[in-house]
Amino acid sequence: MSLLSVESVSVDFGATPAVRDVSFSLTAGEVLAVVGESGSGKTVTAMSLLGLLPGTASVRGKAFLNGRDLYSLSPTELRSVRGNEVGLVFQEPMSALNPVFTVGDQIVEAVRAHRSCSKSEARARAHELLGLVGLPVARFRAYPHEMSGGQLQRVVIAMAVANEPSLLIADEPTTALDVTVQAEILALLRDLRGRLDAAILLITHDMGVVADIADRVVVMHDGRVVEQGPVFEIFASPQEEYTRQLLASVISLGSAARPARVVDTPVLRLDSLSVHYKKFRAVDDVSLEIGRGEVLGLVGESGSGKSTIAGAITGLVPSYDGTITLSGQDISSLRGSSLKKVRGRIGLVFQDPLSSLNPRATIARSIAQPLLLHTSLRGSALDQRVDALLDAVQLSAALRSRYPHELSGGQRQRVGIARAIALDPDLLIADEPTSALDVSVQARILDLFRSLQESLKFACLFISHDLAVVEQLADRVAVLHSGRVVEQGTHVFSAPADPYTQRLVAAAPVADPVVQRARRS
Amino acid sequence: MPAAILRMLRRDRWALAGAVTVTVIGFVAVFATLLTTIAGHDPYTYDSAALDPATGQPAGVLGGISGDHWFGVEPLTGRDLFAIVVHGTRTSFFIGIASTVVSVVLGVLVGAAAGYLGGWTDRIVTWAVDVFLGFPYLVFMIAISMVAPPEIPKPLLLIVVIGFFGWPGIARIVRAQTLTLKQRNFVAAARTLGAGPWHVFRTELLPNLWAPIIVVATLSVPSRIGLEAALSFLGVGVPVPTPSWGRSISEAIQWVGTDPMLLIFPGLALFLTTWGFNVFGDGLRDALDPKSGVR
Repeated sequence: MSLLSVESVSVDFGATPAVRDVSFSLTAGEVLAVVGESGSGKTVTAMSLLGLLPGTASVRGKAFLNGRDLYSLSPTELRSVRGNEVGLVFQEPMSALNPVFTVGDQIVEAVRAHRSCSKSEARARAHELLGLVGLPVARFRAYPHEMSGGQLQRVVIAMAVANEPSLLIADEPTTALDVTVQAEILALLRDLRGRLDAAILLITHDMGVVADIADRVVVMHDGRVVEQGPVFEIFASPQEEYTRQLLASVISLGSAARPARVVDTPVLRLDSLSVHYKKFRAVDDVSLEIGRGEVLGLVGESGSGKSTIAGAITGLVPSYDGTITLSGQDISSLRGSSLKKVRGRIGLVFQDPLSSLNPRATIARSIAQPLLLHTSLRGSALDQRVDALLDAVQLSAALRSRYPHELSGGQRQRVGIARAIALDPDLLIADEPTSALDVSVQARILDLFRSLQESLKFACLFISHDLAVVEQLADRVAVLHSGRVVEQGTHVFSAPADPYTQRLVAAAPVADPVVQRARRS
Repeated sequence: MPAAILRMLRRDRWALAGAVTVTVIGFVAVFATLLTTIAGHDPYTYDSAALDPATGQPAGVLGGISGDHWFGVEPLTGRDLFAIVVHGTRTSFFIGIASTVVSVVLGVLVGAAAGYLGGWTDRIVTWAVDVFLGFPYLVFMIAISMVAPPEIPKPLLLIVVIGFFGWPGIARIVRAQTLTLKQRNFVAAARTLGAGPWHVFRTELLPNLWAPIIVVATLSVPSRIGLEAALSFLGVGVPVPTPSWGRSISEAIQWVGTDPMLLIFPGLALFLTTWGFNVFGDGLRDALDPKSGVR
């Protein structure tokens, strides 16, 4: 008998359908992964189970948990289900915890919300829970800001399992975390499933995570279930076209092999670059070189100093030690108009395309900005150049008078790229350009990147935390850890020499359940 | 933005009523001379025929309201109250809006500079804002009006003084908004291209600041009209005989026992104007606030 059975659930927001006729079931001790891209309705479906949708949503269908229809429960009954029979793990652990209470107090609170027990009993239980999620008991008194993202997610999981729920809903539990931490959290979830015999409903867009932990998979697209089945079958022989596309757009480490390019004169040279914030060394004695037409991949986890290096080159980080040389010119010695001229030779692509475009400026205005600042193109000549750039990033010229909020994420990032290449730069810096995008969109943006790079021959500093993405594009890779380059070269992923790189490569998820399970054991 | 305002007016009855009131009063202010010509009186001419010769009080009931004098007349002088209120609208509206423009220009420039440049600029501006907000400005304004050389026209002096004391509130809001905008990458994108502060302000910040600026400006017009009325009430506003609501109210106080209509008409005009601007401004805030989800 199944623990949770969802039967033809539909959710509408006003007149807009979000979820259509979704059915699946989950038995005790099983991990079911609901996968899909943004807007597929996976989160809406899960949140509807606990009545956590906004008031504008109307839900039809049935969802039985242990034989009770969750949709027919009163608010009071639903509150006793939340946190008691069903535990919830959120994507952003920092925002899921209250910053002014210690994590211990918050776990005690979670215990006492559903159990009538004394304070000392609850404290004992909280200590036990900390041990269960692999945190030292001394962390009981720590405040959320004193802990790392991975530790916080452990606390959130401890709170979710405090009352031994029969179902754990995890909404993108590892998306905000670094790969090495992600691997640890997934191992913890696997371990808890075994120990507590809880079923886990995992909502994710990451096929690597699915391959790692799921027993069965539900693939959603546009609010409908496209396909469902055991994880090995879905990955080995997907029946539906959409599933096949989704799996094909996933890039894994070790799938790309390209010959090393011969590099002539370096376009960018960093000589012992260091950046300090007060006493903290964000970047520590980094020396790099990028040649014309070369792509250097810069990888590292959050806080490793990747974006600070980009900031020093682009001038967003005002003070640094060492020298930055662009096309033979030392940037740090330049001032005024010659500095402005150099700025025009660097293109920059940001991570979040929505935030990098002015919401009150049309697409054409955003793309024209570098041209207005650095060239004398005006009027129809400017319009023609903007149209040519839109064409180069494969966008229709009809979009020129639209505003950013009217575009999809992939289209916005194309606009960001068009702006970055508008002046035909010597150096293009791409700071996590695809990590805010869905996998299928990411694959197309990477294709665009590659073809642009081949035709325009700019040197490129490609920054990412995703090793597979970097491997796709980069000729050479530098690995950054705590502000230092620990390893660089063409061999970094195939034969990592540094222990940190080895850990990084080992933690990178592979979208293949067979390989993933073999690696784990 | 205009589309959002139209949508708001269609949905929000109160904001619509406010907008209509403000528009009507604006028309009255612009066409004051035309209106009083139609009514047949100007605000300066004495008319003893409309007075009761024995007491100096307006002849007839309700302060002398008649087909000839629509709002009645002033005691002792017999000047037409309708003409006084209509011309007072022009004074109040003009000073209220012009001083708001002065504060908005100052506040936006100073606030955006503080938020965007940071450092010492920011420290000095924040410090000045705190001082100005705690300053006993009414006393200061009275003092200034007393000592200012008579060559300076009084309305100009009022506009500059009221406008100058209004910038800190606007600067504070613009500074906060600029600080959040500065975090957004499109500002960083412009900076990395070598754009200077003025370019960033004009093309990146200002278009995103319009919504809050319009809301704050609309909401601050009534308090400025009230301030002008208060100064005129205290006798340091526009000089006699220029009509002003504040002075009309001030003069009506001594007649309130015998001729209450003298207080009611200018008071009602002042009330309607401040009410209209406030309700319309509230509606604007709901429509233009990014948090309300309508953009």
